Amino acid sequence: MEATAKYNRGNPAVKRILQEVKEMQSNPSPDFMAMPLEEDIFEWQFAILGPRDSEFEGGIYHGRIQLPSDYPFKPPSFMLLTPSGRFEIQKKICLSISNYHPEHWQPSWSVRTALVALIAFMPTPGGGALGSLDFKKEDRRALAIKSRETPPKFGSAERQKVIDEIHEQMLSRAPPVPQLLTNETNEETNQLPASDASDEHAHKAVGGVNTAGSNSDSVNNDLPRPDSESEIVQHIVEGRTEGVSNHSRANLSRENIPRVAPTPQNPVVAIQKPKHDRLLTLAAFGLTLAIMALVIKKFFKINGLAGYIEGKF
Amino acid sequence: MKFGAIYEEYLREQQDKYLTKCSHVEYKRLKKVLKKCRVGRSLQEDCPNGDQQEGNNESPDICKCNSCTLCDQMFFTELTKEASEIAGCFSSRVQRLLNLHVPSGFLRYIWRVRQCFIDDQQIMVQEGRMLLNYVTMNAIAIRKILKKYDKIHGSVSGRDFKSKMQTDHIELLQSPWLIELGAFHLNCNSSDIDETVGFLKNEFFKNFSCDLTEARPLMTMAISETMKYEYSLTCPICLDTLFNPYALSCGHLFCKGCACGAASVYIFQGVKSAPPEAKCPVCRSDGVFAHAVHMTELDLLIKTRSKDYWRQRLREERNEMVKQSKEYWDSQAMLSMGI
Repeated sequence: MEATAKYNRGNPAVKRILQEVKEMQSNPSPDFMAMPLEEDIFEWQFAILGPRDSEFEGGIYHGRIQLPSDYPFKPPSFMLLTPSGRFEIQKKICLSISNYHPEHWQPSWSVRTALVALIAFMPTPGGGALGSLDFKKEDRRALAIKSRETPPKFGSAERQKVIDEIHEQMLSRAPPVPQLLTNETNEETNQLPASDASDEHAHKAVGGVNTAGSNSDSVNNDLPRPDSESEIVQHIVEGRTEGVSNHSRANLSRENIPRVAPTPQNPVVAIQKPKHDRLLTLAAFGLTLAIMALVIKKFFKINGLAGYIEGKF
Repeated sequence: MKFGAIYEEYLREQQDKYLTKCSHVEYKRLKKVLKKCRVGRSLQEDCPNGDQQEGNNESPDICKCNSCTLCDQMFFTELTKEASEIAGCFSSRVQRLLNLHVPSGFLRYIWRVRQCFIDDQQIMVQEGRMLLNYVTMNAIAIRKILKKYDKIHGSVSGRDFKSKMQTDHIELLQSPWLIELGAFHLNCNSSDIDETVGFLKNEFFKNFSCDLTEARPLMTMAISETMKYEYSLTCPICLDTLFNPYALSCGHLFCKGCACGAASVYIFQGVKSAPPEAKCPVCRSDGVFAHAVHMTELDLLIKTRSKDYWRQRLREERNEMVKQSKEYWDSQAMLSMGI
């Protein structure tokens, strides 16, 4: 908590986020866990348990939340990192609580309510929404079992440390996997190579169908190109080793930071100088107007007096 | 001692006071209406037997429908009208009282001059207490008559009516003016005014207490040693104690800065300059910013009880206001320059 003293407490968004962190720590929930990074309080890592009485039960799903600078008046964005069969990984989710629909967001909602809603959204059909998938129940169970073994690899070392910490606490907190799932696990371990191959094919086919559906729903000709590009990038990333991918992601994250930093400063500098000059121009113009007014007034006064004198004579 | 007798005695006392202009719940008359309905139901029980003997099946339905429909219309229409009148009268009296206690603008100096000669504090405290007793009595009367109605008819119409009262903003104990009056009561009690014990014999209102030191700041109103109402003094947007609070028409309380942020207007423009389509951040009712109430007594209470917090929030809000003003006038200058 010493690190939190560094933040600018005057910012209402930071104050609100600190209040939420405090409340999250004083009232922990058994269904989810979330905490911000130390370096940036607007970046959160979370993990949710799969909802009970569903094919996601027993699974631990990690994700990332980005809070906007004017939170809580604008909604955050959510991204899942653990494959679940319901949401795509490393892609922003389109929900009524995310930044795709700012008109539905309520400032009285918080990260806690958003995570509760996310858990409730898991068993619902994706319906072709952005970032949503519709896998079969057996595949989802397999992914749920797999999600408990290792946490996902994502981001910088500090972020990975936070992810590992959250995963350990969620493992200690999570209920054991039901016996049916363990039986299925035994069956699947016996048939690992064949089932893996068939599952991979099914995943790709289903993924393709979903993306096609979403494209047709959106009725946008520009959409398929970035989707295909992102797919190509994903394939390339998957082909490389983990170390190389981490390095490339670190490079991307580093490159993003300096790009954002100089952008707001330039217009400020550009705005200030013309403003100063224009103020001086306005002052000079005003003074000129005042002098002209005085001269005209004097002129009228002289004419009036002359007329009066002549009239009297 | 039954509530009816207590209420009658209270009404008799009120005849001598200056609250005669205000309307009260006609408890006795509504009770008589319910008695008629009870008699009607017993008659209905006799009707089917007679009808069975005669062999006519239509009359019991007609008799039952007529009696209950008329009773419902008469009862709820009258109760709605009375509740609206009581809420309107209560809010107007509280506004007048609080305008005297916390005057704004030029009236402040006149009030200061007057206070040098006349001490009206005692009278104001008594009137505040009387208003609290008034709203408490009527709220309890309404609740008891609705409970009696549900008991006689075996229905949930009374409960539905109560929730309808809440949506129509005529629920007395949920009114922001009651919170203002409670804050006024606490503000006056903190000074050296002697508490008049046993001032009113039939007083249901017991005590207002306020706790701002816990994680959830609360204002508690105790009624008749068994009922307690808690009002949260936390802003649901910034999750902190309210500062410069405003109550929207739907009854939710927010800080001024948070309400302006939610409605997308600047702080110096004020909450009431919000567009009509702006929604309440909690319940999404639209058109609630136009009649927002500035809770000056509550702000004074928080200022008195939490000086350091209030001063810090004031500094922050001033900085924010200066920043927003600068932003606004910069944009206006750019517009005028034609950029």
